[in-house]
Amino acid sequence: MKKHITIALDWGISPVLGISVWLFFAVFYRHHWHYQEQMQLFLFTPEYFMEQIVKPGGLSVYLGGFFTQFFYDSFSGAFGLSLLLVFMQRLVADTANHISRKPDWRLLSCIPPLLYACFLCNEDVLISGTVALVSATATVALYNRIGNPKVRRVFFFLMIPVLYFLIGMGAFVFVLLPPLTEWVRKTRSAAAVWLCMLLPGLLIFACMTYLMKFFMVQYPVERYWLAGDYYRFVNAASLYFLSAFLTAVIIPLLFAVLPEKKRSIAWWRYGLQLLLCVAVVVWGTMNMADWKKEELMAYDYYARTQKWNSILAMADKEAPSGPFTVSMLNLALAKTGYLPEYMFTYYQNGAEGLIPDFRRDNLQPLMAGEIYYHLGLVNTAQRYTFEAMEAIPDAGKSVRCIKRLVETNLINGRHEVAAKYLSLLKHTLFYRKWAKETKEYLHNEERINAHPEWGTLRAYRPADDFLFSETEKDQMLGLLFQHNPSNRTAYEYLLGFALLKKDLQAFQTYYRLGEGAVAYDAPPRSYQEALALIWSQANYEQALKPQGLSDQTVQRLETYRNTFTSHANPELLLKQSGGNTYWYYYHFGNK
Amino acid sequence: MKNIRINILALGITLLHGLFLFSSCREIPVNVHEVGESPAIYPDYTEVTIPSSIAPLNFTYATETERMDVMFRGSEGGEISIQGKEAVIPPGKWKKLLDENRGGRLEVTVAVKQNGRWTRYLPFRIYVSEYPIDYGLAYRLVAPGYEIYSRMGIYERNLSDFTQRAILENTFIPGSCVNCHSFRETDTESLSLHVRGQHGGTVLKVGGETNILDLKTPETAGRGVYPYWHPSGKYIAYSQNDTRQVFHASNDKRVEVFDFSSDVTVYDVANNRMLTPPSLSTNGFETFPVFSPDGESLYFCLADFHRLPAEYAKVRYNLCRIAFDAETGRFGEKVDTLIRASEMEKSISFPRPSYDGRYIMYTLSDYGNFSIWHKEADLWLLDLQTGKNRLLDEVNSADTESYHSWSSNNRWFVFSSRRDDGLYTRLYLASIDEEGNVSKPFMLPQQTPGRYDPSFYSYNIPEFISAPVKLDVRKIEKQLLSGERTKAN
Repeated sequence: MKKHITIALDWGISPVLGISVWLFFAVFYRHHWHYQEQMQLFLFTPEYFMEQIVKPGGLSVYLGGFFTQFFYDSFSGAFGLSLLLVFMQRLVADTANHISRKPDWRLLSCIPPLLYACFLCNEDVLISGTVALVSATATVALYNRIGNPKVRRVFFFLMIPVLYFLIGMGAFVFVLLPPLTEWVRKTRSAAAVWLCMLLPGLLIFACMTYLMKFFMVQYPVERYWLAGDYYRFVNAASLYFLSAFLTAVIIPLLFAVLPEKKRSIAWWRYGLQLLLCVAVVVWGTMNMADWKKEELMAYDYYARTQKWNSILAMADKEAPSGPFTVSMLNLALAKTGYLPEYMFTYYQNGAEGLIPDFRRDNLQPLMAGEIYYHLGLVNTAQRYTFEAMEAIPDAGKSVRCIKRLVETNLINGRHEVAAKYLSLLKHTLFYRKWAKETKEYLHNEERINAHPEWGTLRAYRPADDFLFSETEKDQMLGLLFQHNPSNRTAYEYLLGFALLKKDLQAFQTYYRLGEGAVAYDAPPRSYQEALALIWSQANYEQALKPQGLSDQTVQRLETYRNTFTSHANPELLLKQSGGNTYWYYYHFGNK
Repeated sequence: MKNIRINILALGITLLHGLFLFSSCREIPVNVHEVGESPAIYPDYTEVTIPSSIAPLNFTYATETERMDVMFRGSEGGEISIQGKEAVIPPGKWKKLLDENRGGRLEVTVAVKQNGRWTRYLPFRIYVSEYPIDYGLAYRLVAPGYEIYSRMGIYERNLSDFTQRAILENTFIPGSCVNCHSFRETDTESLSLHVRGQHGGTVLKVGGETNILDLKTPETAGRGVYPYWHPSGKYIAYSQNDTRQVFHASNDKRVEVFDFSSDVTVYDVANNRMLTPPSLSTNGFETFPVFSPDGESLYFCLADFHRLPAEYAKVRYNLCRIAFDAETGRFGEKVDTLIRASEMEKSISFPRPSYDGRYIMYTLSDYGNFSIWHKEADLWLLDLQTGKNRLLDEVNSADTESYHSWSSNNRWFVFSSRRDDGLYTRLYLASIDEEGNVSKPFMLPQQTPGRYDPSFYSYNIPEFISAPVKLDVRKIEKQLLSGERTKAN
């Protein structure tokens, strides 16, 4: 029985760990990784490889990027990631075995990969760190397999600079583990370990950072301490990494002092280890997983892949409340033709939720850029895309941005710039097919004009120039619509803008702009509600009755008004009976 | 770091090329179809004039090829024959060929294999000038973006090979921006450049001494941009610009950059004081100050005041001059207008006098001063000897030509152009002889001559340099981070 359980544990831990991590990142937390995938431009060119590899930690950066690109499809990406974490677990277990074979405690080897998996919930933690830790523990495993002590020592001192240059900061795991292993295994005296291995090893490691600074003067020395770019904010130190890396050192060493195996099964040991693993996962996910951001990234993912119905389905499950998630929902409503009908069925947070203001970071301009793109303000979409790419904290480039820049340049007829970007995309794994197909559009104006999206957006672009103004979005929308009255999205955004600003006068003016140009069977619901409100303010004077306003809407307004006037504090009551009306937003929304 | 990275990259690419050359056998073109036209090579090096010390003019064919067969034959002897997907010339052979043919020409015959069939084009010529050229170029590499900038820096490039080395990158102090580099003519011992950001300051190098200046005085805002050294090295002219940008909605234009206000000031290096003459800080917009080679005049651009941004398209700069006495640091009373571009509804930017005092080269666009975003911007040449002012047809293209500077012997000039793709600025060099004849420009030689450069950078503010720039980056980093500044009076 005992033997069977030990074998089951030995063979069962890794698949269970791998499958759990795989499912978590492939299904439940995939949008963070979609975000990661789009925030890099991994190229299969010798130049790109050389560019990465010549800096300290370059190999882990390169391999990290290699694994990240597979998150184009979250199942494939998560498979690669789980494979790395399983390797990490096996390698930690291998070192632990080398120190003292205690199969009862095998579950402890899951702690470093689980801890690291938790850190990977942060969208700025890059896979390069995982690669580095796997590489460092793999080198430790190699070290442990060298029988000759002299060869082992030479290998140790030789590999510190090599490993530092290849994987960066994570090399310190290799600096610590072999000497400490020798120490706990008593193959060398404590004095020999400290004086002849650990201290010189640490010295070599520290010297490497200053040596790099000596040769590569254009970075501060801190950057060399943090070599390997495990975090997107490459100059920021993180204790999280240190703790994950240290567990990979401490866990194997613990095996030297953990109790020996017993004849009978010590269930409490398994229970304790399981509890510890669960505690790590709970603590890690509570501290590192950000489900609000996961929601934001899901909205962003569906918007960029134009899965508008998925956005609506998400919003139906739980209405978004942040400015960017609301703006993506509004875009989805506009693209599916539901914006004027159902806009106020969902939570609205003012005009900022329709078109958010520009912010200097690498995600929000991209999301706002999606809106401008679909409105036909192609130059603005292009600018936001370019700004987002320049704002990527590790100074990398973005495959999503490059793809959008191809589109904006094609729409604008800038074929040579589009061709330059396409020539990059053809060196990617997942975008080369798109690049090849899109290449056919270069210098082919007729084909671009006939493209269902690019041709339409090309026709939407304003013919007369004006300067972009963040504070005059409604005027820009008006100019867009006036230039091309078939631009229904611009019209609905224009009206939506006035409604969200609670500017009924502007709404009335803009509404008239569309009369005759935008065909509705009947005015959509939010417009009817606004028109009824305007008419009610004119005391329902028959001569001023807006065209198309239904009696039913007027009756609904009267019911609403009765509740509004007959209660001292009607907000809660109206939220239940009319929370999905424009009137409710007008009175209580976006305070 | 960039230097080492570039070198290792270059080594890697060279090895790859070498491997390719050794692994592929030379093919003798057979059944060649002769065509009576010049080959469409990229970069276009046909009929250009080059200095004899220039790096190999590697090129590729404009469309996809299976193979190229290229023969360079010198009028004074020597030849190089190469074959491959691209014409990558062995540096040693190239140097020897150019040395042999200084003052002569190379005849280049290109045959291209496409769809299994060879086509041979008419030979073209490359003229090897007798005029030497400086050691290299210094320029900024920056993405042609809007408000946010990622990694960028100031670099130097050896014109005899492909070595590019970082002088200062903005990575050395995270969050900083490096710009406005300027040398006294082409002398790298006198350098001024600006670091912007939390730890910003103006880096001034004179000989072996490096100082960080704070140019802010009660009269000036401290934004020392567009620096230009007095030939004596005693003064540096700056303009103080409050620059803003707005963005166009229509297809044709992207960015509009203008100055809400701008004045010209001069920094007295020896006495650490700012000279702010009232005639150069009027209500109008003064910018782009440059000293005449004799040091007795200061040229600058001046536009009438307009309300901005509403009237951005009405701001037009004329080329003006004011007398300057280097002994006393005093300016003349009168401002002369040399070229009244505003009357032609045009605007002048970047006036750059040749160091022999004969010419002023400048950029002319429809309005404003940020000509790099003006597709219509072209280079013009004012001959100060004859008064002749002409469009430099020989070098201009349908797209933007903007910043330019002169070599130390005044026989070469480098300029930035967007002719290749309309966005990413590249550098072109051209020669000008004693009679003012200008040659067809050639692109700064590229080691990997692909039609679409994978770089995300534009070349910005190219300046000739006579020697490598020696800058102690570690010392500058310490000085900037320490916050210690030499405050101008």
